Amino acid sequence: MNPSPADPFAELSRRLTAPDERVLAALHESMRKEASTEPEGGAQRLSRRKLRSRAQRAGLSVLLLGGGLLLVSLSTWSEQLQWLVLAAVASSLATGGLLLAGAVPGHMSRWSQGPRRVLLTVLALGLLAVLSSQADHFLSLVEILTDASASAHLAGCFGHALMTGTLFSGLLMAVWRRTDPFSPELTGALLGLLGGAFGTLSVALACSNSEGFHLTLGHGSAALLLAGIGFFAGRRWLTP
Amino acid sequence: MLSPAVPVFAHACASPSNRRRTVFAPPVTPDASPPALEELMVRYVEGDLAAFDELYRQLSPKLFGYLMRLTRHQQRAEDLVQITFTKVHRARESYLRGAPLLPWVLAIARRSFYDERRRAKVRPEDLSNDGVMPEPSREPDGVDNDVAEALEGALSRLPPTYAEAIQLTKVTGLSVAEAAEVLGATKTAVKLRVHRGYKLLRSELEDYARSVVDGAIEPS
Repeated sequence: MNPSPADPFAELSRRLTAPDERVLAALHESMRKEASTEPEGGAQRLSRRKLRSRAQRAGLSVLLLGGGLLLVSLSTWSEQLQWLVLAAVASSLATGGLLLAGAVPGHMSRWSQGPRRVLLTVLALGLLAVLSSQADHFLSLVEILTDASASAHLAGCFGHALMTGTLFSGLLMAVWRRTDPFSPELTGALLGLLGGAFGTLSVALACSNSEGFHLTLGHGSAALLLAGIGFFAGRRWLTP
Repeated sequence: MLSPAVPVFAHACASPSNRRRTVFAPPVTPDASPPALEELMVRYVEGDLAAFDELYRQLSPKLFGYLMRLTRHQQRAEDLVQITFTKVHRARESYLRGAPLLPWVLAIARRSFYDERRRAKVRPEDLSNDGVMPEPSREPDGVDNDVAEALEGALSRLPPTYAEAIQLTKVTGLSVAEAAEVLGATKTAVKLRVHRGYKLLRSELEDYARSVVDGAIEPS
């Protein structure tokens, strides 16, 4: 008996069959129903003009972050406009570079999960390290929490960073919505952290307190919290 | 002398890192090659609904085969095919041009499977009397009549993680990198699962080969 040269896996692949025809019929029916509710004419053309490429989405992300940072920092324009513009441009470009270079949601050519996990960890620790390095003194944490004005100031800055960071993270999530069926949790955490970092930057431009715990807890912890929220939100918003 | 089934399978089970990726394309007529999946998807996103039917024709067998491997239940696999294509339709505007389509669709299908499994309760009618999931149906005399069927039976008896990795890389035709993205694992982990699955398949098919040599069945 002569051996058959056929690959048994190839034979299994050849034997793959389509599902029952009712599946396609049901899909056609649901698509017909959806088409009947879509807007017509100019509104239809406008609704169809969606972002198609990762470059378009990354570019929009950069514009929203940089422009948003300038807007939320309006109160500081008169004092430090040039630094503000530099900070907005530099941080936006860095974010865009990260997004384009290795972390673009849903695209196969991005970095694998390992490097992206490392990126997330490095960004989180790096943010705290930068904030700590800008501190010119550290008080006792108990002393801060028991002092009414100090704790109120810390809470206020945390709230500001959290709200602004939520706005930025939400915008990023909206731009990349439904684009990542592969690792939406990791992508969501990354987008949450990036948005949160911009929230931290915006409050840093408005707050002159340079105490260590105030900077890390009041300004930086909101970004970490948003990374955690982004992990769960990504599963809901980033996956098709 | 062992049946040729074992040497054939041994070749097929060579380490994926040492073999070129095999892409299983659907049969084509000599004068008309089917458009690429990505090209069809772009046309579909642009509004060409006829492209959707061709996309379905090319994708649904691989998708259905993969979901059958996960669910081991035809009805549920068909429902999941419908759910997956509905999600693809709703998220079509989010498809990034240039991205490989098959891993994208399979990732959606896999997430849909796990979402549905989280929501659904265990259906008691699906369990046998001792509470164990029923085995896939076999020939009445309990033997398979060709290598492919023996392989299918052996695959269905593998641990789910190994079977899924082999299904994606060897039957569906994804590369190790693509399978790793779909599974949410590293490339090394996927290679390890495939390697361990191969070892189990090899021992299962050696039993089959011995039964052929012993004349228990007539090979086709």
